[in-house]
Amino acid sequence: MSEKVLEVKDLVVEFRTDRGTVKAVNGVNFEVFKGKTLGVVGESGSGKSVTALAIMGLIPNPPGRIAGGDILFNGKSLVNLAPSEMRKIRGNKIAMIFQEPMTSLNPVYTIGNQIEEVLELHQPNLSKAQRRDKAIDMLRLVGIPSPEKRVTEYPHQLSGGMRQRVMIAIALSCEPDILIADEPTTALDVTIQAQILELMKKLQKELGMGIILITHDLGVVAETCDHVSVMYCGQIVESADVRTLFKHPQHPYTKGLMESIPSFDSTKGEKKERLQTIEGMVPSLFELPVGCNFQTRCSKATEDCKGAKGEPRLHNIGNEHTVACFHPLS
Amino acid sequence: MMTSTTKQSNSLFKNAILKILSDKISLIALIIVGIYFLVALLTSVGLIASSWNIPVTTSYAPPSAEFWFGADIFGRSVFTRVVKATETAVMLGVVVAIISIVIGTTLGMLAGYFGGWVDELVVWFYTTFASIPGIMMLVSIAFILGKGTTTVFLSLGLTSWVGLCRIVRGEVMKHKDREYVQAANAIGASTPRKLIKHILPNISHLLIINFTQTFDSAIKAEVVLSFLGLSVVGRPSWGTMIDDAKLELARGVWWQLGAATLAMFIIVLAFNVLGDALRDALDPKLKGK
Repeated sequence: MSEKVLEVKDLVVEFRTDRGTVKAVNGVNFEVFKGKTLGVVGESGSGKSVTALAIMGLIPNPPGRIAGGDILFNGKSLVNLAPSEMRKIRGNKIAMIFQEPMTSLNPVYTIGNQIEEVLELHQPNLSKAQRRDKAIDMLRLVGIPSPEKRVTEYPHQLSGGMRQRVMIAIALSCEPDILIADEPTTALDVTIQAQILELMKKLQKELGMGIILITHDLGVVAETCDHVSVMYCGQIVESADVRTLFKHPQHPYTKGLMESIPSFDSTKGEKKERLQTIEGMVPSLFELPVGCNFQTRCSKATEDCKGAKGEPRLHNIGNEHTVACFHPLS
Repeated sequence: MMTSTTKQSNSLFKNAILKILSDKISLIALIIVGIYFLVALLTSVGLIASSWNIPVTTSYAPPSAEFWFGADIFGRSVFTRVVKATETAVMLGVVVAIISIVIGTTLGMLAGYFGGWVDELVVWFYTTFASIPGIMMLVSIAFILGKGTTTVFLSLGLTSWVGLCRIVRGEVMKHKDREYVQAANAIGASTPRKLIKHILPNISHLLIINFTQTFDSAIKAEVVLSFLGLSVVGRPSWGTMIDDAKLELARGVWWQLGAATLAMFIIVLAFNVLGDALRDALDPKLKGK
C-alpha cells in the first residue's frame, strides 16, 4: 500500500441559513494515497464540492463552517490552521482545478502571467526569467503546442480544452501532493474530456500526486479512478475499489446511478431498452427523512430504513468495500 | 488542433485602443482632447498665454484680426485668457476625477468585497452623502475651507464619487464570486492580492469611463460655482469668464461669453464622444454591437 497523503475523518460541514442550519457534509471519511485517484461521485448537491472546498479551507465563513471531524494532510490537521498557513499550502501542496475552464482564468492577464503568479506566491526565490521558463515548461508538460508563443496569449485566445490544460498547468506548477479536480471535464466536449483525463493520468504517473476526482460521470470514474466513494445527501453511502464497485454495487443508489448510464449496445436485440432513472428527487437538506436518506427513492425500503433501526452506518462487507444500507444488494 | 497563424496577442485594453483609433469620430475626439491637454501643459509652464493678465488694447475692444475674441474690461486679450483658462479646466477635470475615482473605488471595492457591516457602513455613508443636495454640499465645503483653487477641487471631488462607488460596489459583488477569483483563492492568493491584482483590473474599464464623465461634469460644475462666486481666484477660468459676461451682455459685449462657451463646448463634446467610444470599446456587454 502506498503512502497516505490525506485523510478525512468524520468531516461535518454546516451552513447557517435563514431556514436553519444544514449539514452539507455529514460525517464523511476517506483517504487519498500517493499516486492514486479517489473518485467522489454523486448528484448535484450531494456535498462533493463542499468536501473539496473544506479540504482547501475555502468554505465561505460565514455562513459555512467545519463543525466536526478532521482533515489530516500528511498527518497534520488542516482544520484549525491559521489563514496565512493555509495560504501556503493552497496552490502549493494541495491544488485544485475547477469545472469551468472558460471563466476560471483571469481575462486580463496572459496565461504565462497566471502560471507565474503561483510560482511568485510559493517559490519566491525564483527570478522572473526562471518563472517564465518554468511557465513554458509547464505549458509543454500539459501538451500545449508551441508553448513559447502561447505563454504570451490571453485566455480569450484559447479554446476550452486548452484553458483547462492551462488550469492544470497552474495547479501542478508547484508539484502538489494532492490535486483536487472538481468536475474537470464537465464543461468540455467529449473528445477533449478524454484528452484531459489522459493528461491527468499521465501527469499523475510522472509527478506521483494523489488525485481527488469529483464528478457525476461514472464513465469518467471507471476510466480514471482507483477507489470510488459514492455520496448522497452529504454522506458516503458506498465506497469500494473501482472494479468491485462497478461489478458488485451494493447500495441501491449506486446501482441506480449505474443503470442510468445510457447504453449504445445495439447487439442486445431489436428492442431498444428504456433508459433507467432513479425516481424522485434528492430530498432537501432541510427535510431529511428519519433513517436512511435514500428511502423515498428506494424500491427496497422497509420499516428498518424508515427509522426503526436508526441511520444506516457504513460497514465493511469485506475487501475494503463499505456500504451504508440495511438491505445491500449483493 | 490549433491555428498556426501567428497572431499578435492583444490585451483587452490594447484592443480597445486600436478600436478607438480606427474610428474617425472618436479619433478626432481623442486628438481634440490631446490638444487641450497639450495647451494646458504649455500654459502651465508659461510657454504660451503667459501675458494673460496684461492689458494689450482698449477696454472691450471687439474681435479683430489681431485679437480674435476681442478684449475684456481691462483691455486684456480674451483669447489669451481663454487659453490660460484651459489650464484651470484641465487641471480641475483631472484632479476632481482622480479624487472621485480614488474615493469611489476604494469604498466601493471594500463594500462589495467584504459585505456585512463594512458594506452597510459604506452604503449608509454614500446614501447620506447623496441625500444632501449637491449645490448645498459644494457651498458648505467652500465656506468651510474658504475661497480658493484647492477648495474648488476638493468640493467638486468630494461630491462626485457616489455614482462610481455604487457601480464599483455592485461590480465587485459580482466579480468576487467569479471562478477566476475562486481560482486565485485556490492558488493561495491573499485578500489584498485578490482585490488589487485580480478584481481591480477587471473593473478598470468602469474607472476609465467614469474619468471622462467626471472630467466633463467638473468643468460644467465650475461654471455654477463661479456664478455663486466660489470659483478659482487669481487665474482665469471659463466659469469666471462666463460669470463676468452677465454684466457685459447688456452692453453688447458677447465675445467673452462666446469664447469661453465655445472652448468649453468643444472639450465637453469631445470628452462625451470619447467616453461613449471608450464604453463601446471596453464594456464587454456591448461587444460585437
